[in-house]
Amino acid sequence: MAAVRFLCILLAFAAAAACRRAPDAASTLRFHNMSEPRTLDPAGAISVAEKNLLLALCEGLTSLDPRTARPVPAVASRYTALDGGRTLQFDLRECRWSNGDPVTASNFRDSWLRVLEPATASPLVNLLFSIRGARAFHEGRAPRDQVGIAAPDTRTLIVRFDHPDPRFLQLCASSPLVPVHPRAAATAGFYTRAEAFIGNGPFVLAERTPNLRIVMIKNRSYWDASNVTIEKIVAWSTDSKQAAVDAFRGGQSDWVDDFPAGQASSWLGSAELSTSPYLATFFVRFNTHKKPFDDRRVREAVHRAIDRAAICRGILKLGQRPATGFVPACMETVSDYHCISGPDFDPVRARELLAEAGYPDGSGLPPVEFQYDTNEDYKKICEAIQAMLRENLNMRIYLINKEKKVHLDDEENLRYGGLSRGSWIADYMDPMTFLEILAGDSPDNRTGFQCKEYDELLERARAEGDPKARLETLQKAEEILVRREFPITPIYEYVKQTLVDRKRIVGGFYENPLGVHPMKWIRLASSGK
Amino acid sequence: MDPARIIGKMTPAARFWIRFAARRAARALIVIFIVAAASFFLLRAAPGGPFSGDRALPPSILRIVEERYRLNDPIYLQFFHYLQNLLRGDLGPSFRNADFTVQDLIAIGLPKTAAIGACALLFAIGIGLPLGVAAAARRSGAIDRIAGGIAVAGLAVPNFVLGPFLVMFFSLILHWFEPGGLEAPADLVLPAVALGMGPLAVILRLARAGMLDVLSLDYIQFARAKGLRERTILFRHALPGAISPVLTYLGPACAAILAGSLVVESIFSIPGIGGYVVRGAANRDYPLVMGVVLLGTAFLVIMNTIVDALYAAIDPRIRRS
Repeated sequence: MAAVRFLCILLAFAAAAACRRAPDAASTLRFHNMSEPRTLDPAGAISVAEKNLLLALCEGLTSLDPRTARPVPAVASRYTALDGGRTLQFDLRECRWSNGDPVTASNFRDSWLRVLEPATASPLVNLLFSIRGARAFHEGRAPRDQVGIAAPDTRTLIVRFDHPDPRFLQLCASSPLVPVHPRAAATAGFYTRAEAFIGNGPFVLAERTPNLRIVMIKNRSYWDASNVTIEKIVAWSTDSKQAAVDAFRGGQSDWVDDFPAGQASSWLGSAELSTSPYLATFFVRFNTHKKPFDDRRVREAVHRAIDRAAICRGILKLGQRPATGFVPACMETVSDYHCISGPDFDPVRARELLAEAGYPDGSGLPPVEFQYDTNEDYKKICEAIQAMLRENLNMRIYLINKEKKVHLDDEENLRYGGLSRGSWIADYMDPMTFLEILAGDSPDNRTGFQCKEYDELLERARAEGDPKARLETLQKAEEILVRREFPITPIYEYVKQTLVDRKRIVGGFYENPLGVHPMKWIRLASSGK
Repeated sequence: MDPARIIGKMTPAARFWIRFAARRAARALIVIFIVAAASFFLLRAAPGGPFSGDRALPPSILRIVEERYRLNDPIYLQFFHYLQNLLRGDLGPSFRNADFTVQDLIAIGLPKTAAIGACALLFAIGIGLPLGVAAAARRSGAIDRIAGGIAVAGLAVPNFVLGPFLVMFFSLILHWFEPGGLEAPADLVLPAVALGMGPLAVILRLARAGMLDVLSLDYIQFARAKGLRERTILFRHALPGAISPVLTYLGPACAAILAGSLVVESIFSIPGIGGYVVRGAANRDYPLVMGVVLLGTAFLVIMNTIVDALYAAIDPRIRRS
């Protein structure tokens, strides 16, 4: 009787399983985009997940080459630098919004001015500040018509700068510089309802279910539609990397943008694993307002007492590079910048520095708190650093993990006990994206580090007309960080770790230093040419 | 007509029900107000703000955003505004899902949570009740032993262990079900089992104990002596007497399922309102958490009222007291 009942339950289970979902079509790309996007409004987008989606839904004057992430012509068919780089002229090709309206130069001008409006509260508004008059307009010191963006006719856009901005063509490819349709502001549910959305990218919004998925379908009005072979994209959102990996294993997705670091060993050697250098650095912040880290010699001692190679080898395992400089070495592959490395692992010199600071053999050192946001991967790294500082400097460290928002709150108010874990991902391929976060007035500084010379070097680089001299100035700034002042100590350079089903994705998918994957180029097994 | 005269002419039962409804409505409002106040001030007491992130907002932008959402007002004033908007039926914008309002999000998520919750409850009652009755009917038999095992396992294994186990076994090894999402009816099965197992165990035990109590009573012995069929005795005479503890438990069962959905939804990647609370709290999305907590409170108050009303309807002694 009991056996019969058990069998019945199993049968019911199997019957329920039999009415499973229909499989996705061969021309549908499915991927795990990790966390839910905060918004699809280009003016508000900042995370990698949002950038992935906006590359599909919108297109700027330029777009990113999938191999190198360098800018290539997109809506602009041609761009010309005039006046020694102080003026850029963009010639727009003939292209249309998904509702058939033509994409005009004034669409771009109005979208950029909208980003600059204070009321829009765009988090990345600073990226537009190199445009003449932009900052003054944002801060209410100049009228709208003084901003150096002009649309003399529907297909020509002219942008003027106070100083040449070598980053600008890259920035044009990404939010917040992609255009939004003039109707966006006035249409309720523009970014949430498929029938309201109007875009100019290779794909358009078809469904948006928060915390589950975003579905996009091919945009027939897109100017290069004949080169887009994917008909439909399903982007899953999940906060759980494990759930994403489960779904990948279960065949629900073709690509997962990240996975738990603890699983590195189990994926090593698998054909599905794809790793490549990523413009992102893991580092430790010093609270320079707190003893003993108010003394730069103690900070340098800590820097020299950490064996980064051991962390990369023993914990991370996926080819992450030990970092002694703040700007990752792969910046050299995408720009003419020569990265600065700080001092290497040298426990003897570290102890000398500690003695010079008045703590021979660590005696007299107060106990130090090392704070990190709760995460299994961070915990292992912080524990390793704790052990190294104990062994090499006789420094007593207490690890404190806090919930993410509490951790950030402590960092912002310099309330952490001495050391704090941090990481930074590049917005664009230029050392400025790293170096400017340690400027004295940057809200991302969070170390209390204020150095007039450093801030002046950054200012000088912004005003520098000669690209070579500009990068040299930035090198001098980085030297201050990692050879002299040590407000932070870099630990390692990230690799972008993705899982890709190579049987499904057969082309157009590359790892690049920005970790973005323009989906326009992706070819699926049976949909490709 | 004069309302007082209408009430005067009513039967005692009708008068009881009117008083019952009025008292319950007043009590519900007080409960909801207390929950609203407690969750509002607790949420604000947590350090960290809704707009902090790995990448800090520029100070000028942060100021604009905080002014827009009145986050710089004194906190009692913020609470007052919240209540004002609540009375107008406006739950506010979501901070984390900036393209949606809280109403939008609840409209999207509630049907999913309701679906897995209802399935879990049906599963718990549909399996737990008959199994408990069968276990009592054949005390110490094979079924009783299996039922005992299920009850212990159901109570001892929490849903955050059971959920991943079900995924591993039924999705990744047997490939019977998808490991997550909610696309087809079949996707309801694993979450409903993970969510309903705890209540199932309780219902099973309550039904078995209630049944055993009743089966030892004189009137059952009498029915047996009269020569009635065992099935008639069990279902027609014993079950109605044994079922009231199960009925009492339905209120707490709903609460357990609602609370369990927070965990189970995240295991199975189901975009229901349970996940809103977890993510909302982590992101300091004050309006979203408030909206869902108040919705949950209203649901529980209503469920408890229904259970009490059923009780009063079944048992005349309650109406008299």
